[in-house]
Amino acid sequence: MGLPRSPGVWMGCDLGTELGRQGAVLTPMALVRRSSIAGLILIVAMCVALLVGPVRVSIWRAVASADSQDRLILSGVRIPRAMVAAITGAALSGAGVVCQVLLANPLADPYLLGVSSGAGLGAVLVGLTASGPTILGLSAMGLGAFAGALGALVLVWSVARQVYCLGQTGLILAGVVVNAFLSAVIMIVVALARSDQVYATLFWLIGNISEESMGLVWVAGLAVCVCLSGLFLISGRLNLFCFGQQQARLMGIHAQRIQWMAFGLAGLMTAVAVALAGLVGFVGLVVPHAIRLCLGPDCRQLLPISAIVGAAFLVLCDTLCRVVVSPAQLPVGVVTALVGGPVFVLMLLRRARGFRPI
Amino acid sequence: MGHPSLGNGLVIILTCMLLSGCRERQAVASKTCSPERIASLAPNITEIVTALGLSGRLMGVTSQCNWPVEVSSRPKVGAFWYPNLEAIIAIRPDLVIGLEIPSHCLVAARLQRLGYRCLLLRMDRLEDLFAAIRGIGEAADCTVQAKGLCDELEGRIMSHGEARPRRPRVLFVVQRRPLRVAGPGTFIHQAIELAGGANAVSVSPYRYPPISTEQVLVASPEVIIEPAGVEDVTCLANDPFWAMYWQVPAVACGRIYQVNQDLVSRLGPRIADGIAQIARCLDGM
Repeated sequence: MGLPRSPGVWMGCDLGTELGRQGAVLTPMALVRRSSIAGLILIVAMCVALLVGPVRVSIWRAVASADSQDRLILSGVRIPRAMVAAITGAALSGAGVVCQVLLANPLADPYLLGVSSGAGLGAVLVGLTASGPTILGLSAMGLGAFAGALGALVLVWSVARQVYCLGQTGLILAGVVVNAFLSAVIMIVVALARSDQVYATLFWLIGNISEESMGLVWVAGLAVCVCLSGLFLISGRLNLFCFGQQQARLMGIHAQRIQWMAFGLAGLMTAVAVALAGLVGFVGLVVPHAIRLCLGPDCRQLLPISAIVGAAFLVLCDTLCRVVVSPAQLPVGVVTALVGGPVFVLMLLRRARGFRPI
Repeated sequence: MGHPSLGNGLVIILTCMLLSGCRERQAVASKTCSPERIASLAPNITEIVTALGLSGRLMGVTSQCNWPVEVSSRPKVGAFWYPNLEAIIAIRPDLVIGLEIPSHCLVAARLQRLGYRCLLLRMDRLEDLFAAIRGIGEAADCTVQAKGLCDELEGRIMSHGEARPRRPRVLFVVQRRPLRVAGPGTFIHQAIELAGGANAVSVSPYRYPPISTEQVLVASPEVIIEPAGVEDVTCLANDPFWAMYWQVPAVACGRIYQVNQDLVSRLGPRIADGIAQIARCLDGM
């Protein structure tokens, strides 16, 4: 298996060494080994999600009888839900890596590109007029959020293209301005709307993992896999954005083309995640940082491993949501911040203790 | 039987994952005429079901269902605003009854996909209550009891506010900060009218409009009513929150009351008792 080639190798240095931990050159075998470990973590998380819940379920009864309640809970509730959590977590973490690299900003998350407010506006507008499931069982709010997120991406894209000369700053500012503008439109709609549905829509947007139809799960999973694969193919070139756009151009890559490609794929993944689960916060910000702390900033491993670990993280957080106050449930965004925050601080402290200034 | 090994468990889980899509397609809607296991997704639905004499068939209720007292110990199917699909399936219901609100609609759509029978009810106005009772009666095959309950409720609801010479203006406060009140188009508006009062905020595009201090002064309510966790009507004459509205007749005369929130905020069979409490507020207790 060959890794996506990093142009830095042609310049006489291996970015795996330059960007990664000292002495840790990223070889295909190392990537496979680390990805396998991450995959194992995801499998364990999925098993936990399927076996733990507000109701005690017997795997053997589920297998033995097609009509058993255990089979129904496992196949109709827990499996679709765990898969929605995994797809959402993978999409947000992968998009988080791309945003942080592309914008050279450690605080960047997938929602910085205007997606959150676009999704919010789409969901609120649709929530005022439609209800009930639509395509593949996706709720009207989910569909509205997806369309709104894509619309916001196009808007950010259009603005950023006009101010491309400003580099990464131009893209960040375009995202921030579009976010602010669309947020204001949401507030106007909420203030003027006569429907209580608006409040229900805003509650949905907080971020909730729920059971979707398997058809929708497969389509969303396929879309996220395609986007992640596309991003992995350009991950070697994305590494060069760590040094800034100018440097990336000097090192021989078509910075603008790579930037737009990464921007589009990351935005599409985020839109899929928002349509499935609303605005789940924290995953896209913290998981890439945590993996970067452990394995270094080489995008060729940061992207796939962040996606897999992000999937596992959200699956475990959703499991906690289901059981902590059972049979009631918590919004998953609350748990991602409550669990992820302290874990991330501990990792930072450990890293800081091992830091030796030159 | 011993515990399965991790490998076997994984194979089974992966098989289930592959089969999960097939399971949905196999699901067949179970259409039983007379349901024996009912799940209620709202406190007012629980009250209607028990008032119809179906308490013995009520197998699952929400965490907020506290009336009648005996249903508090029934298995819980989640919170009213966020039902738990897994907990609902666990009680093996043959009829799930919820409200026409987004969270219940989503859960009902998923349950129907899995083959469960669901009944969603619109509960915004008093006439919806009677329609809901009849709807549940038909679904649970007890139309005679449903008709009897409707007749009894109608009689009790209509028995208030007949001999009042003038209708006092009532401000029904559902939330203090920001101040939000019951507007037209709500069953509380109808309850105030039936109790013999007039809603002080009778024109608004919203059902529960947020209002400013200025609007409170313009509405000039003669009676202020707040739902609270009290059993009976309680007078709040010296409440510091209302002191800033000293120009308002209700505050000047000390006619601020708390009523039992479960009676007036739930559109169920006990709304008749809620209307009675509102009527007592209008009478000065």
